[in-house]
Amino acid sequence: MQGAHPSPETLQRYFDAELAASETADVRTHVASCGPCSAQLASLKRLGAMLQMATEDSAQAVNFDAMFANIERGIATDRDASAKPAPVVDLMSQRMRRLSNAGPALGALALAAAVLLMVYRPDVSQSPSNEEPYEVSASSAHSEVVEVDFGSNAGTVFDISLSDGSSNPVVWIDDDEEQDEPETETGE
Amino acid sequence: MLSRTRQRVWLAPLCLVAMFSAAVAHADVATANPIPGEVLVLLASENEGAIDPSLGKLRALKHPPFNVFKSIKIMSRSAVQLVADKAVELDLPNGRKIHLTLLERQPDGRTKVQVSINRPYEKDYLPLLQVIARSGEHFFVAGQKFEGGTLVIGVRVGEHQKHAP
Repeated sequence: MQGAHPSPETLQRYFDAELAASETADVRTHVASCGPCSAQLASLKRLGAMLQMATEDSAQAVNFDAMFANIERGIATDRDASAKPAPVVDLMSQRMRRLSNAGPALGALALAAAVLLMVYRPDVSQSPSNEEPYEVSASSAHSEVVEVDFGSNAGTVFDISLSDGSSNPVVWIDDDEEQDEPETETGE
Repeated sequence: MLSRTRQRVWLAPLCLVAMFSAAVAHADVATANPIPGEVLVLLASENEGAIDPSLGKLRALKHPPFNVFKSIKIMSRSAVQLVADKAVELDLPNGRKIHLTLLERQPDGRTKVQVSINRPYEKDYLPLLQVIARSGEHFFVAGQKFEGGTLVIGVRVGEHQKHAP
């Protein structure tokens, strides 16, 4: 029994198990006796399997090129295989191709978003009160003492600048007591 | 109708975005958080003696105010891993403790650290010191009297750079 071919949409919904029970039975009966529709359904199954495989592969190793090459190859194969039964398969191939063409663009968008996230991600260790402007040139920035509390002692801050351009701040604090000495002499 | 096949096509890049972002975040946390450093405790004296040969690379010790010392020995050399807002505590030979805390990373690559040196629960010597340190450069805290000499504490934050002493 051949009857009218189900529309590509109906076939797709049948593949996705979205049809009502009675409609499902009709399509199943038709596909069982119709070569072109059977081929179309088979191609849908192959495409689904390939997409799933590509997704699983990409979960193990992020490789956009391989994934989309795989999909494109599958689409090309399906298009060739279904060229004879004609209109149904052709329509579906074009549809899937359009979708797969959008894939690299989505991938690129995804990458751009990830890169933006990486660049503008706030440094977890950076204090929110940091108000210093962003400086690109790090070469001229040396070590420097920004705050010191000598407590009850007297102290001095030195800076040893070496010929190679490095700088070594020294905080010298007078110590009034010598600790942990057996014979402590005070008044140092 | 959004077919499953179509959903899968859209889902794959989204999954990849999530995975990539997670990888980036993980890499950032793993690499950006701990900063290696070193705390070098030296005992310097104006008495005749030897200067530990391993200090030869620390050229700052040949300049004032350190060039008055004729002997310098290493009391301890401690490698530390600095994590934001988490103090590293080390014992000093005179019974005091040095606390070293990473405050923030500067956009220019330097690191702001806080140092304090005291007996436990006291503020007798150095209550507070904040230094913006260039990676690989030492800064020093000196002056504590110990065993007839002077303690010199060298702190390095980050790895040695080309211009490091």
